[in-house]
Amino acid sequence: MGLLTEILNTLAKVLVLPSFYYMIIMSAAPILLAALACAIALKANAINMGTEGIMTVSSLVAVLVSAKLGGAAAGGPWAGLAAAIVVGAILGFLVSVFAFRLKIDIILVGIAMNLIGTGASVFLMYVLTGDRTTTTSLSSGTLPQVTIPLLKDIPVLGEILSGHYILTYVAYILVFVMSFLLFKTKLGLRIRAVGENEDAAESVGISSLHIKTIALVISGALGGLAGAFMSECYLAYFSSGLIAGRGFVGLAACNMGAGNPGIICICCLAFGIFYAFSNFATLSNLSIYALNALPYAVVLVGVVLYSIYTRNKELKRLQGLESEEKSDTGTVARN
Amino acid sequence: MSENKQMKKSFVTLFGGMDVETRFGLMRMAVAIAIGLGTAVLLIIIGARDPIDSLKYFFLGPLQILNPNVAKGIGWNYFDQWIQFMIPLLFTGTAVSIMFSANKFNLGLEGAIMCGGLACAWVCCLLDGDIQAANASPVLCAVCGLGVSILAGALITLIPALLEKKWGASIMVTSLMLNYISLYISRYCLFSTTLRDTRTSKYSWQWTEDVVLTFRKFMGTRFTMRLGLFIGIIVVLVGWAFLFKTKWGFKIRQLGQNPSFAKYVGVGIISTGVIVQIIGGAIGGLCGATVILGNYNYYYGVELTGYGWDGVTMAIFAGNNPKRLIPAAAFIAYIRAGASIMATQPGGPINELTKIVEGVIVLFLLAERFLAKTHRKMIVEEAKKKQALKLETGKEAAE
Repeated sequence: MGLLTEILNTLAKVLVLPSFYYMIIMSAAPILLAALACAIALKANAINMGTEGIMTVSSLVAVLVSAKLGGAAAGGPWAGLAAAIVVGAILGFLVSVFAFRLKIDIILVGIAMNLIGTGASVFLMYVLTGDRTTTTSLSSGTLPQVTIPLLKDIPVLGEILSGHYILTYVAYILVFVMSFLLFKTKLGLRIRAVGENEDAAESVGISSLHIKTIALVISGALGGLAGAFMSECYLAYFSSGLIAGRGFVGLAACNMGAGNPGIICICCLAFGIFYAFSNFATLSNLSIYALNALPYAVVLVGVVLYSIYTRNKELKRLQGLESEEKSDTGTVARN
Repeated sequence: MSENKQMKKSFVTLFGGMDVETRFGLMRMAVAIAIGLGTAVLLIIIGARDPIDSLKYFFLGPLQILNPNVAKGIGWNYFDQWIQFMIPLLFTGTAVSIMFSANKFNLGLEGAIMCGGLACAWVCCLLDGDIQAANASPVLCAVCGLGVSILAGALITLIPALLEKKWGASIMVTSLMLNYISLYISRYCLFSTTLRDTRTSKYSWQWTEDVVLTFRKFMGTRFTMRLGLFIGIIVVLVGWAFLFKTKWGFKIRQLGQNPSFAKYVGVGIISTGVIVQIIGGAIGGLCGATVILGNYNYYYGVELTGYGWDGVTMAIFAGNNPKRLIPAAAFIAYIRAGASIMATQPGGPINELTKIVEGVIVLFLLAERFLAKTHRKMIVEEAKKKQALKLETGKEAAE
């Protein structure tokens, strides 16, 4: 109980700080990107558990390419971003090849991808930079921060919404793009059709293999974007523990939102609150470890609450069906 | 003439007695391992300053005890590293094999290992350590520590199991989150409670050396005796017997292969699913405790161990059959030991490359379509052979 009141006390303290809200938006962005990556795959019924590994590799690639081209002054971060997206897409394609062409359980492909990703990134870092833990010796730079002209002059709102890294805005714009893609385009319809009933989709001439591959390539590219965010916005370097389970948290958010971008965005912002919270540890008497564990605990509780909600909804639907059936049979009997 | 046939028959029973699937499985494993090791060689050539030297250490590292040019002390240390890497693989492989046999993708083993180690350390500190001088006998202390670790580990995997049972929450997601929560619980206990040794502030208080499950310079030889290895082998054997020789094991495998059928024949699919995960977590907890008690006489868990994911690799290698875990664990531990010995040599590349190798082997082991053509050819050949044999024996009978 003491822990809970202390959490609430600290929340009350930080809730008045605009920088706290800034932090929420910023720390939710990589999770959001990862969750969107999982979402498009999930909609095609291909759980991409390898997002964590894809993020790790692409975050390193972004840093390496950027540093090679001369850092922020020479536009290196942009090239790094492009490289990260391409690498992510290639890895996504590889996942699809192993899962659908070579017929491996896609969850196990994801686990293997994470294994290879963490190993390969550290190995690559060592071979190319001679460093075993971080790339702080490289001057890779960050992507630019954007100040929005009129918005920045509004007192509190400007402080919260303006001045983010460009990828943060991209992440939130992608929520709408993804909604549009999934629900308003031909490709989106096909992805959802394949996800819901592969055989039915095949019967009307959709190649489920192609659609799933496309979904995973897009998923990988988004994972690459998330990786680039971590090493070119969140921090300005790559380190071996950089991603720290954000790919998995994204997967959790995606599961809670059942692949719907809008709900996913809300979930990610909710997780973002607790990620941001752990950055304000100095304001609190709470142990830093309790604060660090908080986002994961919140995800856990969130997933459980969401399952209770869906289960109740399902139960109600079934009860409704049952009562309808009863009244139907009743009328039949009377006739 | 008939002698020739006799020989042919005995040859058939020796090699052909293995059915095509087993032979093909072995061949595929050999090819997958060859591809994995090929990757390793390639990576070492890219990464090492002196590739020949590094390759030598990678492939022969743990066997340097046989090399007269290497100092015996170091040779034995290398050998010991092999054994040391093997221990957790035995435990986690068994745990994941049992859980995957029932098709339960509980990935919370990492958390179970963390909490098992922590609980064990705490008990040891209390019973026979610096916190309170309870001065229990070392044997009692070790037994209590291992016992508590089993409970702690089971608790961690029980949570996702119950959440799924009660509300249908995805086991995969909740168990992944619990891993990170366990990590921070462990850090919290280590740094912010009475467990912390106020003198070093990096580790926990110590317990007596007698509880450590490792005997260096065993019986006056250079051999380091690790009791953990024996506990691990016992766990593997018990796990195998449980899964393949008991009623419960049969139910579990039934559940994994066909849940609808399992339900139809009266297997309690929900309770079996939960029990499987409790067992997995318990073995995970025991693993954590064995590793903690096997290395030092203090607790130091501030990072996730990665053993939980190793368990998945091992279960895939062993095809969910604990019987095959011992050679599988020996192999993986061997390349890991080789890599880490190689990495300690001047100019040697980093030992993380084993992760790449393991991932590659896992992918090729699992790929159903990989070598599918050869598989078909083998089956056809086998069928032809059988037909020919039948014809021959038919003729003989007619004669």
